[in-house]
Amino acid sequence: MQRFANPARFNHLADRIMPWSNAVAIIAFMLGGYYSLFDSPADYQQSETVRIMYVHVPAAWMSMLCYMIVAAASFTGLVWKHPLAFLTAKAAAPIGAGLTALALFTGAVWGQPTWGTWWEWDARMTSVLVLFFLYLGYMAMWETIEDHDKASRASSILALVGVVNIPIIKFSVEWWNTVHQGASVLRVGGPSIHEDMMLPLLLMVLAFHAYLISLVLKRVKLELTRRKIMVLRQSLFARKGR
Amino acid sequence: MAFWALVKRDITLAWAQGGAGGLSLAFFMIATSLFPFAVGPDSEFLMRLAPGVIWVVALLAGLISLDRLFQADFEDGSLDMLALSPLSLEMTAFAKTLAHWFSVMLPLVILSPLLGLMLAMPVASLGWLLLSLLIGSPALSLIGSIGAALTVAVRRGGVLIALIILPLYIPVLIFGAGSLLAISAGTDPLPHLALSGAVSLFALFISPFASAAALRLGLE
Amino acid sequence: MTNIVAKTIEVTDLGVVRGGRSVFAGLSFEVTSGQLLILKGANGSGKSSLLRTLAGLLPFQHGSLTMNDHDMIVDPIAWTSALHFIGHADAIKPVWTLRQNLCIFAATALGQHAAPEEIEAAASMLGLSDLLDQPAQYFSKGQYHRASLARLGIGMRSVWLLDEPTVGLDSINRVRLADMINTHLSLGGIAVIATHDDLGIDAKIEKKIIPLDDYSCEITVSTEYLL
Repeated sequence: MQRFANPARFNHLADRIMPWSNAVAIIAFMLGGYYSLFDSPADYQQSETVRIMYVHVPAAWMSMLCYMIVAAASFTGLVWKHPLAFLTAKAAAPIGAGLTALALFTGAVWGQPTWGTWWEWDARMTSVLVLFFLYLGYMAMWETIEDHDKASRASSILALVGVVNIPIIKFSVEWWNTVHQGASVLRVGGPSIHEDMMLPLLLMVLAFHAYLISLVLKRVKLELTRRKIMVLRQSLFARKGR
Repeated sequence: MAFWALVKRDITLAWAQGGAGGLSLAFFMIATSLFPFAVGPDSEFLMRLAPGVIWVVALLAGLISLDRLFQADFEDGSLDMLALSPLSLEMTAFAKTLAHWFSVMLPLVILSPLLGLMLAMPVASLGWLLLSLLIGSPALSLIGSIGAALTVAVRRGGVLIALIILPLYIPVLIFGAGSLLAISAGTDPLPHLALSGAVSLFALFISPFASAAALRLGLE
Repeated sequence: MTNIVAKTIEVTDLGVVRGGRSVFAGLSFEVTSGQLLILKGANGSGKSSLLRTLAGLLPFQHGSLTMNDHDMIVDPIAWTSALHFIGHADAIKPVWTLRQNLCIFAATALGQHAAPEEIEAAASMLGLSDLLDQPAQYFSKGQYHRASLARLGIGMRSVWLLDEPTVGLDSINRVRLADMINTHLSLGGIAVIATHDDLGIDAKIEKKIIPLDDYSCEITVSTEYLL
């Protein structure tokens, strides 16, 4: 564990990974984008709108994955007192929030022609919405505590409390949804995935993953630089104040 | 001994001049009474709305008192004194949370049938309203105490508490208010209440540890 | 519950880091029964941090703290049961009378019952006898501070950790405080006090001074991000 605690080693490692993840992301996005827009069948029920799925589904998956990264990094930080872990958690959260917002947005755009409504209180959409709230709370925690050290630990405690609550929230939302099934307007099962839809979907999922890796590494590097500037400033003031 | 002394101390403070108890209770009554003004006095409609309204307002009334749960003692130095007591910080946090439930939530629970009547709930379901709040509200105090502890050193942490705690309140709300919806739909409310109790028990299990960890940060 | 009576406190190579900055490092000293330890140093030299560390409120990153044979990490309750800590904040609730404040302090923070005589004696030591049954909200700032110092008279704790106790006290009350400290030390207690003032302590009492400025680190910032 401690091997990666060294920022120099991390920077070195990140510099070696990032060209690859960047390349994979760009190629997969281009190929996946082409297939999903031009070379995949339209759904016989949903016609062309089914193409929203190629963004919506990866975004929804990644939104959850990102929270797991935040929680795992927070746990690592709290247990092994690992400064880079806190920074990773901090770096991943806004990306996760962005992906969650994207999943909600594409869900709404997809829902309009499919269900005839912009927002449907169905179990999955509602869970994603709650996840978005959890991200907001986590990021607000970082923002409001000035001391970097305390902010990192406080928001990590919050991330862990959030992650143990996620299964309960998911269960309760699903329960709530089945109980109120009668009240909902219209219910369409998820589109059965045609074989020809699998390839573009997988490409897009790959692209999102690679993009996530690049973005997290970049943001951690950025955060390290920011810390470095802060430390240099502090030592400057310490010398001047003498 | 120190545990119950602390519970008693916090209950006394909550009901002393300017304490959280009376304020939350007043908020509960006033905010609930706003709904008929907003949606109209039609008793049929109010009756359908009542369980949800009472649950949400009770939740918010508890929430507004939470930001002072640890912060008042943190600011005047009392929290230092309590941290040096023979109780572990976990037990200290739990004692204060228990006191919050007794002094803020329990009065709301007891008053809720009255507000149910005002919102045209049938008399037969008032007991269920009381029971659902009784079972669900400990989770509100327990989860809330984590938020209060995390924001103990944050000036004006009230909004932040709401932001981090409200998403975690969703299961409590679903099961608590759900039991009353089940009754009005003519189905069995007991599974809802059982799940609500399970959420409270789960919160009981994690809250003291998470709150104490957060308080330790604040005390540094 | 029996409180531990501290005979010695031994601090070895203590180092505290706060917010990524080292407050002090390499601090070692020993205080024994009957001795007064005075912490001196400029603002920000870590006097309050050291007192909070000794109380067990602030974690330390380096070194060890032992009281008699009790290591603070292993047995924190032994430490907290032996000490009184009076910081900058008064920890007095305005809605309660002084008597209620002291009573509830004893029950919650010390975990023991305080007899009425004990509370009256504690209040009279700082000239607060007449205010015992007055709500603290009517107190002046100085009276608040004296009320917080009156806690020292409750519970027979052997170690007193005081952060700038003379601030806001007039000359009469400084003498009263000095009398309390003198009595405490002559009975074999230990006191660690951060102060800039002359406390007026008996010449007989053995004093040690820790100049905290000498223990601040040359590089006061952590270097982990500079690598």
